[in-house]
Amino acid sequence: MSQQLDAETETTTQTIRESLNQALHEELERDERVLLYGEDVAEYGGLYKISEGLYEEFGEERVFDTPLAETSLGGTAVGAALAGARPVVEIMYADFLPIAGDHLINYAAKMYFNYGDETSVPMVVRSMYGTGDGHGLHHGQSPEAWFMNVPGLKVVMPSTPREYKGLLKGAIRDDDPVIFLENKMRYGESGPVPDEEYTISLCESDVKREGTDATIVAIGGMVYEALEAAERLSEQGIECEIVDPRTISPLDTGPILESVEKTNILVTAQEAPTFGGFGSEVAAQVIDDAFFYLDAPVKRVGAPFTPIPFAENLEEAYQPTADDIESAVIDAIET
Amino acid sequence: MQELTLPKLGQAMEEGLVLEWHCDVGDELTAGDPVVVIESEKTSHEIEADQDGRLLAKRVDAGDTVPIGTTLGYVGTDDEADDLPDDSAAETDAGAAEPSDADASPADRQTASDSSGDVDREQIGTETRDDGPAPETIRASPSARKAARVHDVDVTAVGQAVGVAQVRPEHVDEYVAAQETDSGEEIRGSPAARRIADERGVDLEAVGEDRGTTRVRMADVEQYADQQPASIPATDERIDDEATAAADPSPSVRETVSITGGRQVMFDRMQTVSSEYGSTTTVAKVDVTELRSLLDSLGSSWEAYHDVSPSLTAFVLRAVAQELPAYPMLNAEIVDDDGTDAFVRQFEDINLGLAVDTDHGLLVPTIYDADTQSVTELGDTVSDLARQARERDLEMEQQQNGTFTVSNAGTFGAYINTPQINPPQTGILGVCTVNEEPGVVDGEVVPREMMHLCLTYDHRVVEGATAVQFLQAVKRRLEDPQSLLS
Amino acid sequence: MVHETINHTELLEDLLLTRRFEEKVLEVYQDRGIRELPHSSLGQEAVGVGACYPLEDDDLLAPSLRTRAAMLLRTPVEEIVAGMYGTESGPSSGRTTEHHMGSSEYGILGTTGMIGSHLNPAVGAALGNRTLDNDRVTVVFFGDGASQRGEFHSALNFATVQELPVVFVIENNQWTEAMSIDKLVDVDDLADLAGHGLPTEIVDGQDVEAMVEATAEAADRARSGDGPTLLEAKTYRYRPHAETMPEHRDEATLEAWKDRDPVEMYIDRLLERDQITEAEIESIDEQLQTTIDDAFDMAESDELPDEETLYHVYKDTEIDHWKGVAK
Repeated sequence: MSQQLDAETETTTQTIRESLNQALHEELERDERVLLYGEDVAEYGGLYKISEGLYEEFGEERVFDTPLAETSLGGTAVGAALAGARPVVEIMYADFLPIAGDHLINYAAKMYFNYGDETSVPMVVRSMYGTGDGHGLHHGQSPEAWFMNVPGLKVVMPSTPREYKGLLKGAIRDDDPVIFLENKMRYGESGPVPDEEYTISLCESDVKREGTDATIVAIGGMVYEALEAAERLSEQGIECEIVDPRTISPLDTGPILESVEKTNILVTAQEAPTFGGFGSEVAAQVIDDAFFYLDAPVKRVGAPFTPIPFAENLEEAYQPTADDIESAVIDAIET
Repeated sequence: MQELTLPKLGQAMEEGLVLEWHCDVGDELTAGDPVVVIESEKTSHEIEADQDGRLLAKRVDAGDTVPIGTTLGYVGTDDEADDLPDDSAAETDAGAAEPSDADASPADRQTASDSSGDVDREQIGTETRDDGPAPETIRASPSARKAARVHDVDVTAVGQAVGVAQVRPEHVDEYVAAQETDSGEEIRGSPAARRIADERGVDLEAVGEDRGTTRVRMADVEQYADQQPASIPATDERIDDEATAAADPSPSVRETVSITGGRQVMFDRMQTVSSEYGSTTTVAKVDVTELRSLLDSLGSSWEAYHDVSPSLTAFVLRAVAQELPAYPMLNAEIVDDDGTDAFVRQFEDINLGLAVDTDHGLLVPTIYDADTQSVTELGDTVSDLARQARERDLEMEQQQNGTFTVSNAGTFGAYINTPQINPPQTGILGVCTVNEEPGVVDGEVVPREMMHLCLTYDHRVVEGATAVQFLQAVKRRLEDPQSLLS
Repeated sequence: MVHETINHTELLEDLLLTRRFEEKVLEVYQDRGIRELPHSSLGQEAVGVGACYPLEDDDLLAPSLRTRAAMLLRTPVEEIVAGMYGTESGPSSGRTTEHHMGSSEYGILGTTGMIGSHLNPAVGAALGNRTLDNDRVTVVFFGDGASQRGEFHSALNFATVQELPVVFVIENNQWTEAMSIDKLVDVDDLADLAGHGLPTEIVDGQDVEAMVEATAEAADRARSGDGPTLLEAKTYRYRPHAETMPEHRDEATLEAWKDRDPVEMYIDRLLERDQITEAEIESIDEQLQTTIDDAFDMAESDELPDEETLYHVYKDTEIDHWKGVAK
């Protein structure tokens, strides 16, 4: 299950931003049905420059700017996908996803079920989340739990540059509607990305670090925090295993269960508020399928049940970090 | 001087009960004399004097429960009396110099301690642990008060429980820890701990007690199980580590046998009987010469029961079933749910339990309405039930509702074998082996075939005379076997 | 004149099919009950029938739940009826109601229970067809209610800016649920709500030939790359929003509209023009009635779907539908 890089794979170190741009470029080039559109994605190259150069390369029929109406972004993507195209739309901030929520929840998620002839909705909605930049209440929320409860949607949250690229390509080729969440605070993170053509299939969890003492299931940007916490804990003699689900829904629980069966301790980590979140679902799945392997209460790391605050100190207090993961692991072990 | 302390009698033991003092302060002792009896949950133990001298002091009263290592008292010579550790100096005087005071009844001692400043030494030891200083004398440091607030406990209670007048933070910790383990908080295991405990056959509560935690984790179970070769606490104190095994003088373990199934039943019943019953046995020697010749003469008609023992057993059962109605206290059960309002329930029906030894332990199938069955019928029934017992083919109902039990250890050659009561019944008859012995008939010594019958009865409810009369009645029946055929 | 190019027998058949079907639904709903709550299009059949008539077979229809004509003209009648009963021969084998059915095979865009939610997807379908470089036109039908939603404006704007091949058809039947349209918008013509720089045309929705003519022109524009058109078809629904919520109607107004009943108007016109005889109409009618009756009989005896039918949520990923996780 773990998709470790083959030692012989040639790689280049690049940022998440570069890997995303590459993924879009490669898919636009590979498949004429692929479209990229959204607010400021064409001439400006995307607010965070993810789509830079693509408009110039592929022209305004394939890459174009749209009116400031997320409802049109969501709705037209559904229609284009139903008609047979492969639209990739960018809804700038994930906080804006609810504007297109009707099209995502009631339309995109349900048309495969609604049609009787195998017609599906192969669309990708790219959107950004991530706290820590003082953007306040409405430009950083982590929305995975809003959509996890919707059968028919796929929610993807990559962590490393390699995964951002492989999973975006995988999402574009996937026949189901995908909400592809990018952590705007991590666009500058760099890492090895294979030079050769590759994709990563959705719905496959990955083990990011092996360990025997505790399992940390971390998503999106929290994978980096988990890795940092694991290094610190290792110095204290605690070896954590980190499972990165990558696809939030439908979740591949296999590697999580296997890991918990090995370590007997589960800690989850997410940026969203803990209550009703991804970690809660993971906890429930583990309790359901690996109850008798648990040796401690499940600890969930996440944000408090408040909006994202603006003031610097409040934002710092709000944002879950490696410190919180470290404490949670120790709490679980010492309970 | 010998300091008497409460020993650790088992892995799980944390405290013990001082059951009984064999002597009073000032009594003379010889090395090897029992001084005090203590009891843990699982066992009792006598502490002996290891030197000649006197009991110099008692620190704990009989009936008190104290932690392991608590000083119970001191044995030594009169000269050593002066060297007794603190707060016992007064007692040395009182105990050794004035033996008459040591003879005072507990009530007297209580009065003395209540009415005067001259505190009785025998009370000090217990009061310190159990009642502590008077509430008004307890003070606490600010940090202790803070710790008490954090743990939501009362500093006065801490002082009294720990036995200090000046409470410090560590006393609070000690108190809280003691409460967590002692105050009845249930021992619970994590899901993983429960799985591992199940797999390795260890008891979670034992693990918790052993590890001193109410929250048992997987590692606790593993460590506990690793130091126990098997699930049986009988080998509690064995050290499994091979390196230390060589130096360990205790016998090496051949095998540990789990107490389950029939063995578990036997274990539980005998535990009950030995701890709760007033069992006494009366024995009769029965001349079965005539009975044996009758059995021989019956010959081929008994072919079905060619094994002599069952047929002899059938005659015994017949005799018992015929005589029991006249002795209702022995065809009865004791109803004693919580020790109060106990009563005896005498039965109309004669349902005889027959103890049968099997590979999977002792089973006691029931012969319903034995008084209505002939010897032949009883022989049939015995044969069927014994086979069913060996083949584990007994229904639940076939092992219930017995009113009296017969056990035949004679088949194994037992000369005299006193059986134990099958609770809640009040009596059991043990049948022993038949031996040829010199007997006197018409003034002449002749060889006779003799057999012991042992009746064990619960003397709490059955009078000795009743038991003896019943046994003699059975004996008479067996010595006149023709009477049993009718 | 456009009526000279129309096959009037065919067009009348389409119109009568829709009328007789709606009459049958009401009859069956009252007498025998069907699972789908009828939202009848009685009185406004000419809009859908006329708009569909000039289209190519592979043009995409995005009907509202009341555009019964669009469903009937693309889908076998028995499948529609089975869809109303929720049996296995219905759209998506009973997973969905016929109201919102979607089918790539029949060229019908699936919709949802949210009025007007299909406007942007219809525009998107046109975008998809442009991307796929075909000349399919998308015709999207919606009521006066949908014209009050933001979806209406964002869809019109997007389609106009991108010059997409779409024909928007407002079926203005004067009633939004149980509310009269004149209390909900402050314009006389809903076409005036449009703006966005796209061409609009007001059409007599009772006149099936007028609908054919207007839609043919709009579809031509779309197909030739000149972008979207909005048609406001003025019509009237005889029945309440749904059969369970009868609303107060002004009898005189209702009668006035019924005097211009689309089916009767067209038949009168054809008879007047000697383009059909009474006997021919009777024969067509009888044949349609048989088709419809047979379809209802079939659906009533149809099986309910297997439980397995439910487990059809992701195309690319096998999941445990009870746990909600990937297999």
